[in-house]
Parts: sequence; C-alpha cells; structure tokens
Amino acid sequence: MAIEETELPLRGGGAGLGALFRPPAQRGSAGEFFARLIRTRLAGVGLAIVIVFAFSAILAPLLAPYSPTKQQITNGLKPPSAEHLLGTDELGRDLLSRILYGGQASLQVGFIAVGIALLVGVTLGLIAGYWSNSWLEAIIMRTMDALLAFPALVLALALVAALGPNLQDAIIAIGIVGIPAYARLTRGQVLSVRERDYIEAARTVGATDFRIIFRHILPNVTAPLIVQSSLGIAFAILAEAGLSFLGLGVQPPIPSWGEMLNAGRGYLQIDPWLIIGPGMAIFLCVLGFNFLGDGIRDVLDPRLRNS
Amino acid sequence: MGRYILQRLISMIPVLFLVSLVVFFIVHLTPGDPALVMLGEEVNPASLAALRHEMGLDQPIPVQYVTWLSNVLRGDLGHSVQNHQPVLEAILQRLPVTAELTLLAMIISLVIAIPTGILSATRRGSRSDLISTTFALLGVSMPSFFLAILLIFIFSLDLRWLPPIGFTPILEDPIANVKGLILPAITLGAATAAIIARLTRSSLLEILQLEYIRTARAKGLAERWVIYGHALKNAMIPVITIIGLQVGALLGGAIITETIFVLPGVGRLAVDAIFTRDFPVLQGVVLFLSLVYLFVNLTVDVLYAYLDPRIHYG
Repeated sequence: MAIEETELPLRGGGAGLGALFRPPAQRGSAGEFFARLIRTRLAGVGLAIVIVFAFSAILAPLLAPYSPTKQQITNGLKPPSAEHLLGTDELGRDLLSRILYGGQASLQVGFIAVGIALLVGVTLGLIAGYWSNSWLEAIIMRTMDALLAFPALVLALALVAALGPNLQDAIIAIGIVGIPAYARLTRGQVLSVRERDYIEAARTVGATDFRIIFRHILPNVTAPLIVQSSLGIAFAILAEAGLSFLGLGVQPPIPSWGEMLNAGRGYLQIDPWLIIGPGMAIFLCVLGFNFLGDGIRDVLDPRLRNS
Repeated sequence: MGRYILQRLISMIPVLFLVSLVVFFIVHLTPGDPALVMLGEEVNPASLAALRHEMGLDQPIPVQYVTWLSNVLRGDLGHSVQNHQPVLEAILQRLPVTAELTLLAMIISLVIAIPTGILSATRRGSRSDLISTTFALLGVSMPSFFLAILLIFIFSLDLRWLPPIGFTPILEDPIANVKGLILPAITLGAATAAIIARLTRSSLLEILQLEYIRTARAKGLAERWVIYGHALKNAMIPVITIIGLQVGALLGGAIITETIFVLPGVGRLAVDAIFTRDFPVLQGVVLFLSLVYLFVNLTVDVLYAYLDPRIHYG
C-alpha cells in the first residue's frame, strides 16, 4: 500500500517545520475517516458487530441474567425458555450469561495480544527500517524470519505448553506469534517513507533520530498497521478459542467460548445450543473484525476496493 | 536456477539456527525445573536426577544446547519421557496421517477455491460473484472446530453418511480411509479455500485490467482464451505464494482437526505431548513441522522464480 495515497488522519509530523514539510498523514480529519468508514457497507457492518460484542462483554455483569459460574446440577441441559433464553449447560449454568462473560476473555486476548505484538513488532520494525543495512537490522529481521518459520498455531501451542495453560500466558503466546507480521510491515513502510523530503528536512534542521522516528516516520506508517491490527485481533480471538478448545487457554470455571464448545460437543445430540451459542459468538465476533479490517483497507486504499 | 536454490539454502542457515534456539528454549521457558514439571511433584529424587541427567539438564545451558543441536543434526530428536520411543520414530509413524490429511485438505480447497475465484472475477458484480464472495468472507471467519462439530452433526450423526471420528490406514481399506478423512479435510481446508478464492478473484481482476489483456481482446481473441490462455497464468503467481503460506495454517490447523476427529497424526502427538508434559516429543514435533513449512516455502519460492520470468534472482 502506497502511503502517499492514504489520507488517514493521524497525528504527528511537521511541528516546527511549517506546512511546507507537513507529511501527508496530516491531511483529513478523524471525523471524515469515520464517516467514510461507516459509509463503506462492509466496515459499517463490521464496526457495528464489534461495538455490540465490546459492549456486551464490558457490560456483561449488568446484562447477564445469572452468574456465569453458578452451578445448579438439577437444572442441567435445559432447552431455551423464558427463564434461560439460550438454556443451560450440563452443570445448570445459564448459557447466555456464560456467552456474555466469555466475550471478556476473547476480547481481552484480542486486544492485549495485538497490543503486545504491535508494541514490540512496530518498535523492532522502526529500528530495522531506520537503521537498515546494519547488524541490528540483520539480527532483528532474521529473528522475525525464524519466528515466521513456525506455523502460527504450532508456535502458540508450544509457547502455551511451556508457559502454562491459562489466560495470561495464552495472551503472551498469541502476542509473540503476532510480532513478526508487524515488524515486517513496519520495516517495509519505514524503508519507503524515510527517503522522503520532509524526513530529509527534519534531519537538516537537526532533529534527533528518536524525534524523526517517533514524530515524523511513525505517524506515516500507521495506516497499514491499523488494517493489520483489525485482522490480527480476529486471528487472536480464533487462536485463543482454539487453545481453550484444546484445554490450553482459559481454564474452567472462567467462561470462554472455545472451552464452552469443547465441553458442549459431548452433548451435541441432546442440546445443540451448547455448541451453536458459543460457536456463533466466535464466528460473528471474528467476522466483525475481519469486515472491519477489510473495510478500513478499502477506505485507506481505494485501489483495493474490489479485492 | 541451481545457483538461486543454493543461495536460498545458504540464506536459510541463520534462520534454521534461530529456529533451533527457539525450539531448544521451549523447555527452558517452563517456570521451575522442567524435569520436575514432566515427572510431577510426587516423583522420587532418583528418577528426577536420572531424567535431569538423560536430558542434560544438569549441564550448563550452552552445553545443553550444543549437545542437543549435535544430536538433532544426526537425526536424534531424543526419546519420549512417557514411553521412551525415539521422537523421530514417533513422528515418522504418524506422519502419513498428517500428510494425507493436509494434502487432501489442500486439494479440496484448491478444487473449490480456484474455479470459484475465476467465476467471481469473470462475472464480477453478478449474483454468483456475490454468493461466492460472501461465502469466502464467512469461511475466513469460521472457527475450524465449530465447523467440524457442525459437519459431524449433519453428516455423521444425522445423515449417517460418514464416520464421526477415527482413522483407517489406506492400505487396510482405501475406501474407509478416504471416508474417514473427508470431514477432517473439509474442516481443515475451508478457511484455506476461502483465502485462496478471495486472492484468485482479486488477482485475476487486477490482471484483467492490464494493457496486454486489452490488446488480446482488441485482436479479437475469444474471452475464454483471454482468461485461460493469457490472464490466468499471471494471476496464479500470488496465489502460489499464498498456497505455500497456507501450508503453515494447515499444519497448525491439523493439530485441532486431528484432536477433534481422533486421528493418529503428528498434530495429535503434539497435543498428547503437551498434556503428558513430554517436552522432547513436543520439541521434536515443533522442529519437524517448522522444517516442513520452511521446505515447502522454499519450493514455492523456486516455483515462483520459474513461473515469473520477470523476477530475476541474481
């Protein structure tokens, strides 16, 4: 994606250098960007889905009719009714409440894991791109190549196996797996941006490397990172659900969609809701982030609109 | 071409070295004593010391690494802590199942994805384009384990067409073998099919807008010949790259698929190794799968250089 064609309203750039050296990232406004995003049907639907899931997870304590962990064995495997809208699981826990609370684990993993990957990956990518052809770049990029040499889920699984199966370590593992994608993307963008006139101008007026990287380069490499982050959250949610499904992510009794699917598959013929509920939750949430990522990409780069 | 392959092999050496470091340190990421984690708190001190010695854990870490690496280079991936079987032997025993599953998944996904992508691109904006694009978008977001359970519910428990779980070796009963692998392969290949269909569509659309296609049309070639004779070969170049990368997704996905469908493959071996804290087996599987993935991508790169004469690899 050619950065000069993007009009993402990002902060930063030419403070003190005047409008002449203002980088392209300063064009447009956040309001304009969101208006265009919502007008893109795909992104609008994606954003709506993501907002619904985010609110239902945050407000789970208010929205959930029952405690997600309170067992009532005598009330187990009940079909949907006015009392329990999606029925109950094998231990008599309210399924709707568990799905609402389950969203907390999924979104936590999605956002924090991608946050870790972004923070580390972008920093490494900035260093490797800014000081390209240095030993530092060689070490960073070969390490990223090595991490990419592992199939993503295999590496996540191995890391969780070593660190221990729980939510926190699943987040770290999925975050580590995501790092190389952001590092490579950032490095590529930095290489294309750092030869621009406004960077040269900043250098001429005596800006430090640190200032050039964080004030002038970073804001102009952000656009593709936003797209990657949205798709990355979708991957992280799927990966967490996969790990929890295998029993290596969130541990019972904390509700997690993947773990609920695994527990429910034993009752497939008796109570399909145990599968359909959490399964659809994962599917829709991931779909929302994928739609949003695709939509943001369309808004940022109109040439890709048909892809 | 020979020189290019050699260059690529040489450039893989530092990556392989770092891969070996990551795999080696999997054991050392474990909080506490890995031998104690593997044997459990109740173990007697003699067994613990024996395992520590066998795994070289009583040596300094650099010594452990050099010993481990030299063993790996000689094809010795260690022994299972659970049943003392050589790790390489355990992997090779289970490899045919995973190989057959991933190959079948890739074939199914290509058979679905490429014609769908071509249809979508050539009838852009039509109802069939809308349907296939929507299915591709949905397919990317579908968790494989959810799809697997739905497929088992419909085709095994309800219609009773296919077995829900289990594996029959191909030499024992080829028909039962294929029947047993159809649902796992669809499960595994669905997301790959969606990704490849999307890419085929966008790649072909991009090519169809180029000058040489306009020239081909202007000189009166039939549309079919324009697409299949001129556009498709070039449109397939990025698709081949993504096929290589998708092998990684298939190998990772095989872990979940083999677990759900109870298939005795390499992925299942990894999951069992995690639950029994059998680190040598886990390390072996992770190393093996990453080597397969690297090799597949090297092959794809070579194929890429062969297919696209514009790319010159000095």
